[in-house]
Amino acid sequence: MIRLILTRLISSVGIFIALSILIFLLMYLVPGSVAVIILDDAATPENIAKLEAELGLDDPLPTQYARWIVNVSKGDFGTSFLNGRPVRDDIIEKFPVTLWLLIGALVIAVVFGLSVGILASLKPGSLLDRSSVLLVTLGISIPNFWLAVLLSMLFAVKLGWLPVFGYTPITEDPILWFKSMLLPWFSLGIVSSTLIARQMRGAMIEVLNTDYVRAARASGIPEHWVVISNGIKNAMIPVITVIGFQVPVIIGGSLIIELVFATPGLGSLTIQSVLDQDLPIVQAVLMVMASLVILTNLVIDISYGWLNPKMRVL
Amino acid sequence: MKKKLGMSLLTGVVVLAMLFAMAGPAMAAKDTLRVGWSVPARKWNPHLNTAVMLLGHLEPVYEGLVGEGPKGELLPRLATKWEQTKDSITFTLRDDVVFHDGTKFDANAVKANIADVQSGRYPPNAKKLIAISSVEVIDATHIRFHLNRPAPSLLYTLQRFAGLMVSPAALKSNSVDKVPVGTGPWKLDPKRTISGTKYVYTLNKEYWDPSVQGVAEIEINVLSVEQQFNGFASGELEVAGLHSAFVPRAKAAGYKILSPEGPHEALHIYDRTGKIVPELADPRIRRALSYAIDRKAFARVVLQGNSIPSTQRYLPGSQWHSEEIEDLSYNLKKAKELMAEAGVKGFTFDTYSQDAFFDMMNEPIAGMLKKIGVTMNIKSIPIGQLFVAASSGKYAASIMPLIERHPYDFYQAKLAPDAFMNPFKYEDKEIDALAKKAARMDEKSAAPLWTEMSRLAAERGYLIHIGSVHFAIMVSKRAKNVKGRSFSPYNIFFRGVTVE
Repeated sequence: MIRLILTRLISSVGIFIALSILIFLLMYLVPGSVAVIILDDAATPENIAKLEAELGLDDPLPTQYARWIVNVSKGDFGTSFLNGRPVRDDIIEKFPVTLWLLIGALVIAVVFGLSVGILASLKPGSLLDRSSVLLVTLGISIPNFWLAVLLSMLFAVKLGWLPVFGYTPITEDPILWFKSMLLPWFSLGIVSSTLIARQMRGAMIEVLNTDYVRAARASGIPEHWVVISNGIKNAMIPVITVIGFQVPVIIGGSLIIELVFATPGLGSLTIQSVLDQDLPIVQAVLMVMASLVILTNLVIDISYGWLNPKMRVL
Repeated sequence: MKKKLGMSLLTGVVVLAMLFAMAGPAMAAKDTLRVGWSVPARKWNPHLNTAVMLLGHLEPVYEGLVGEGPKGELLPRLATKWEQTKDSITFTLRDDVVFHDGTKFDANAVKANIADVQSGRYPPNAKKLIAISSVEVIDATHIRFHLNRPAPSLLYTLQRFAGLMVSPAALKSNSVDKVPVGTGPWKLDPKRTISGTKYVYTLNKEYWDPSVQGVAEIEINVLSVEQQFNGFASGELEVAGLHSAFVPRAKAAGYKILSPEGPHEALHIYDRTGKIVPELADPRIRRALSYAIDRKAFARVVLQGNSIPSTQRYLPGSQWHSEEIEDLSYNLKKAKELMAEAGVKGFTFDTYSQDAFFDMMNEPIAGMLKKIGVTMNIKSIPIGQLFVAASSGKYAASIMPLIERHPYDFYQAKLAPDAFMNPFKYEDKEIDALAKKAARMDEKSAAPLWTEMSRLAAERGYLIHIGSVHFAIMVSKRAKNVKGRSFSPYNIFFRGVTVE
């Protein structure tokens, strides 16, 4: 187990360094000088030359990367090109929103996904099972942004139950916070829940037909206990991987969903910053999101090894 | 087992349904004006901004010496009166004004603000105050701007960015970079503001004229055009911008719509020398472009009627409108004849777009020009880079708004040899002479000269005018006394607005 943890840790660090280099190089993929973007309407040749010198853009690339990564490790992502605000302030302000979005969507995905998957697997071929397969197929086919628009039109515009846009911090008003998060949660969570349901159904059917489950039933263990202790526990091993995969899927989906609901998280910040060519913010958000995904994958890998001893020797 | 799981699932669904129901309708907050806006605030120091869409974020907080009426008229604000001569403008200032940080507003504060603009760190605004050679503090409530050149439009300039007053203490400490510190009726609440998304302004209890503080709070929400429409429809906004695509739905729903006169849009021809697109040096080609544009169809179809088509800068009713201008309106046959006469079958030029609005403007015009063999190649640029692109010398032409209201500003920005938006430094001696002469005359005597200048610029194809675009605004029945701001897309005046 320790070997597994060490191996995964080293590979995660390697991936992180490689990604950080790619993210740093973004600055050089933008056409023209960064100084022109920063100066905006004040971009006179003298101002451009002065700012380029101040930013150290004449230094060799490795020097610039080293300076940047050292600053990033201290939490200093620089300042926004557009408003001169420290990028760290933006990240601190927006990260909790995306985190809440991720947690809520994941909870919905897991609760709905596991419930539907388990129920469908208990009687394969039944009306319930076939309905769940239909729902899962539908869920997988619906793009989350389209679902978001439909939910918004129904629950916000037509019925007026929930806000069309916006976000209220939980510290300011928990009820308003809950209202503002419901539609984004469902928009992101429903699609992921269908993937989990599909995986759970398949895994449960397979496990419930194994010899040891039959033996458990034959020994007189109550059916609900067989399903929980033998069925769900063993079927969860592949499902945990699918749940883990949903973290990057939900983070990716949040880019659009946050825009649809004007949720002020890292997703909408990314889109706005890309449009504005506000590179320090784009770099910071990518670093945070990449770290989150790498960390999640690391936890999934380790937990997978913990649940499945066969993995520990790989 | 199945029964238990089924019951659990059913319970979950019921709980969720209750949660949805508990959420209830989005209620209007009492005494709060909620506004939908298309762009986030950029810099809180108004002297570092020029884009009119950013005025909305600054309007609650800042004031200038001179105020602005719905049609752009000059109003007393921090100055109670002024007197302009050929060489100077003398202002009498209010003596009962304090900035949000407690600093007293006086003549020294005005001097510090003019110095900040003229420091040159933001050239577009520094250039606007170039006529002020020195500032003389007469006493605490009197100040004189000495002028080194004619400045017929300076008072209008002082209504907006370059003339807005920031606390000198905030300028000195740079705290204005984080929070705006003006003298306005409302203050920004940084704790409830979510950068880039929602800006909350609360009442300035020390304000010198409480009668204009009709609401206790202003909430500016940065939203897409769809969100603004849906937010307005669901009652979550009292004021929202109305994109032309939603006009039929808004009209069908019976919403109150304001249409203040918007910025004038024109295809600016920068490369009048033919440096990067040789064909554009020929006046016949530039006029052919004008004849190829069907302005009436554009106004009716693309802008849903929210536009007044025009082949010249100033609309009928303006003192600078020309009745003698040559007919430059849509005439495809004439456009093709001019192209043939110039021996040009077709050509291509690059232009740019920064967002959906400019796409909406560019794409139909590109389609119209294609009919005479001209390809307008639209490149995407980042938001906020419009003026950088226009002045870069990389583009031969582009559709841009003419936000300059006074002809002198129009000349200074677009036509003068050293104009910011004349990147190829094209010089028209006749226009220069007219502008220089008019700038030294009083407004009434100068008017025919400005009219002539505007006519020549249109007939010579320096600007292919499209018309005035009205940026419609939806106003809910709860909001009273809302007035649109002319020449500023989707902008309203917050002063005096009330919410029932």
